[in-house]
Amino acid sequence: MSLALLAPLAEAPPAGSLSIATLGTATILLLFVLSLGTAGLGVLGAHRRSERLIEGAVQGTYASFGLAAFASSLIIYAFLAGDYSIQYVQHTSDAAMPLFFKITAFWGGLDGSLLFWVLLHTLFGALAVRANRNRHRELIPHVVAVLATITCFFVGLLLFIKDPFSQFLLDVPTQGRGLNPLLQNFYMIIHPPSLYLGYVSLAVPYAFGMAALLTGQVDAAWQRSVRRWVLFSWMFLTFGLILGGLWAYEELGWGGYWAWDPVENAGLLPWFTATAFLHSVMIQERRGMMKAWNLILIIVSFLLTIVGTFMTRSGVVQSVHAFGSDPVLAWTFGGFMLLIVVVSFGLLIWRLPLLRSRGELESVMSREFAFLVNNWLFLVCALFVLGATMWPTFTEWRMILAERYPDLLGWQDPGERVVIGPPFFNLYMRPLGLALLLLTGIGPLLAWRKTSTESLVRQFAAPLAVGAAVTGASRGLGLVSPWGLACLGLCGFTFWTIVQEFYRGVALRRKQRPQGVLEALISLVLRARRRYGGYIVHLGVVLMFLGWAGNAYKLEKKVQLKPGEEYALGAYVIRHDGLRATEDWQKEMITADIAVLRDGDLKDTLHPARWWYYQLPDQPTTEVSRYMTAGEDVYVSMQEVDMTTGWTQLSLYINPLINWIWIGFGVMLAGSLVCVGTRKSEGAGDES
Amino acid sequence: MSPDLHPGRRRVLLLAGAALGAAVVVLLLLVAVFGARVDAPTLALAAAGAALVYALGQLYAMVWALSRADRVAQVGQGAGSFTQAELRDEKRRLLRAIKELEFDFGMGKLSKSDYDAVIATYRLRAIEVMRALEGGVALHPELTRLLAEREAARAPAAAPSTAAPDEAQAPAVAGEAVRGPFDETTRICGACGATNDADARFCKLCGASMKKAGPTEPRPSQAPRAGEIGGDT
Repeated sequence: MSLALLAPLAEAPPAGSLSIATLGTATILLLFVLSLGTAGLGVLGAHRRSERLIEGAVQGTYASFGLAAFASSLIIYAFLAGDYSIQYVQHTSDAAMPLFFKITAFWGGLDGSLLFWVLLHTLFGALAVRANRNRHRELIPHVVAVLATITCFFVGLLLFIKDPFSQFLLDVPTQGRGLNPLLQNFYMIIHPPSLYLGYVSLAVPYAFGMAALLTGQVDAAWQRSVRRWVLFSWMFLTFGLILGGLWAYEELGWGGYWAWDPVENAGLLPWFTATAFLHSVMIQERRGMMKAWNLILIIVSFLLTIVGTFMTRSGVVQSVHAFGSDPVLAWTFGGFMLLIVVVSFGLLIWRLPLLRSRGELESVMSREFAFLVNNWLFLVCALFVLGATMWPTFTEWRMILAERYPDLLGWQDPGERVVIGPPFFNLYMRPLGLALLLLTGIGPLLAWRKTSTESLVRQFAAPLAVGAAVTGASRGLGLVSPWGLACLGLCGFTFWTIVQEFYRGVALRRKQRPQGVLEALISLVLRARRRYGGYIVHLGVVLMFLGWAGNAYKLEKKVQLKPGEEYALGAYVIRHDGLRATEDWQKEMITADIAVLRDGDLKDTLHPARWWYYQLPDQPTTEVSRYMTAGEDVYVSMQEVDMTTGWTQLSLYINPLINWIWIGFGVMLAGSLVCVGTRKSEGAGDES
Repeated sequence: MSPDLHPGRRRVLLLAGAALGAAVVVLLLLVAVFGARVDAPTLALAAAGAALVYALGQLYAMVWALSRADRVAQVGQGAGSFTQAELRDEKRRLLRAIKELEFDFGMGKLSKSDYDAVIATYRLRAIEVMRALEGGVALHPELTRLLAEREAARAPAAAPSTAAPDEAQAPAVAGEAVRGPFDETTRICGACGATNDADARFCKLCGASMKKAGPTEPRPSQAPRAGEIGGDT
């Protein structure tokens, strides 16, 4: 069927001369038809149980990746060769950019990022199908069909709405406009692809979940192939979010790392649900409970990745780095999301009889219940962040509707576009986060089914004591903020539960066989990778919370200094040592030399700067400089500068404990790598 | 992937390899003989060429797969080996779970009575799985091959005649041996002939009830599905 469609397209060259642009557009067209055909073959093959059609669909999945790779390399070639007849290339690059940034400009704008999305999606699809086609033969045709349908949607967007290869019809410019200098930053190069990897790879678990629903094989089989994927997605999402934070911290110069920007929130939403899934899947494995719930989490995670893409790319929310407003794209995404919701939940309801759980909750004092509460909290977090992010947009829609239909809606006051700022988010997310931290401590110490009172006392006495001691000590050091104290106390509590788990495990292992402490520790972690890997991740979480606790004690000052002047900031003295003006072939720079002294000793000389790119002279960038220690950061950014008088306006911050966030993230990453482990140990049933 | 696909794949790989090799040779020649300067765009173009070759190769593989004679997709177990693998998996999983439980008990997370109750069910299951494993292995390899062929030849249309077996245990008669290797862990749907898990209540393919079609008498070795160890622990 698809053959007849493919043949004429493959050999029909576009009219006129064959430029990179026409070749690219033709490839995208071919990819669209191919993914339509692949989806059709998958459905038909599953329906007729035809090996031939299924094999065709599988090969079609691989071919889709090939075509996507071809189209992507074409556009990279266009960037490198400076083919400014292509609008996208002209808008996001110029000849003076370094080679590396020219390549990464591929995903620097809306159209290219959609193509990048397609590339990753088809790559993951091909990998997932290749890895699982023999293990889950009955699921594969459905998986292929679902993945190809998603490909189809995104390629359709490229083809009909946002063609990255579209050309200038008249007046082909000879120069590029250049990439936003804010984006020419190392973190910004890795941050979007990392978030993308997380986003896009969540489509694979979704496809497997849908296949499980379609075939009715809703038992544990589908999850075993999916669990690692979700873990990978989770790792990449975490990595992307942290890099986003680092970028904001180093590049934007306002002394913080997270301001609940809608685009960052969009990355956080699927992170919440994926984390919830990683926990609740354990309950299903151990107790056969929550089958429907796990499917819902997978569906919602995938849906949230689409919502996130929608929020970033349709311009419905206002953000520092949304791509700009586009109503056509917004409606298309809206339709797609509606389709996902209707189809996924329709299937789920249809298969509900098969999803009944076999176990029951026996006690509130059980690990199952802790997991359940954890899941609710994560879901509440996701819903809250989603609601608060979208609320300004809803109020705007209400205004527009009220304007358009004054008769119907004139009775109410349309109000103005509401702005929801970080304080609102913090107000609600702070207790939610602390509750999650508390659960991180409690959950692993509870037993499955039920925990006896004596066991409770034995498990929790020491951690509680440590938590109380940490709180007391912090209070003694003169810290007053109740949130900060609560956070520090909980960090102590949770930290000790983890230490205790490791200690008891090692002790038991050494009792069973003669081993050294280190040997016992390593074999313990390797034997039950998922359990102890999970604990290491929790340790990272504790360290990150420690970093967030520092937020409550942050110091912030705006000062005007002339060269030679000093300013006392907390325990430090900041001295202005002079200004320098330099330039290179891309930009003009003004750099200040700022000495950081403590107790009269020179600790470091910082070099905050402002850069004016020739390409975009009205958007100077702020180059931050900081003095890092384990305890705190001295963070200096230059706001305004007058070269004639030497007056320099500086923003000075002391951010206590902030570096523990990045360290905690490193620990988390290490822990999740332990969890992922090797193929051999996978499925070995090491429990949670 | 079935083995008879390999010639086609090999041809594709060979073609792609030859094209890539030729491209590399041409590139090297250009550099060495004509002194061409290889810069970033050239390399990008070369990468694009490689991607194109791969894409065309896969398109060819797709067309090749579609042009071949059709076979019934072996949805589910491929002639017993799959169930065996799954049983082995299950055994490993159960032994792990028992170890884990002993460990938990050692760390004082479980009371003695809870531990005894849970570990008893695990041990029982492990024994069942091991027994099932041995039962499966005991089949003569030649017989297994024969059964595999029969399974492959059985079109879905022919299903009702061979499906709906009743509870005879001995796979002595050839006609009954059809479900021999699946005996311990699978049941065949009476409506469409698909193989299902032993504890399935509805057919996973057509949705028909498995109550009447499959064996009615409870088997001694109703192995649990993998991953559901904790089912009633």
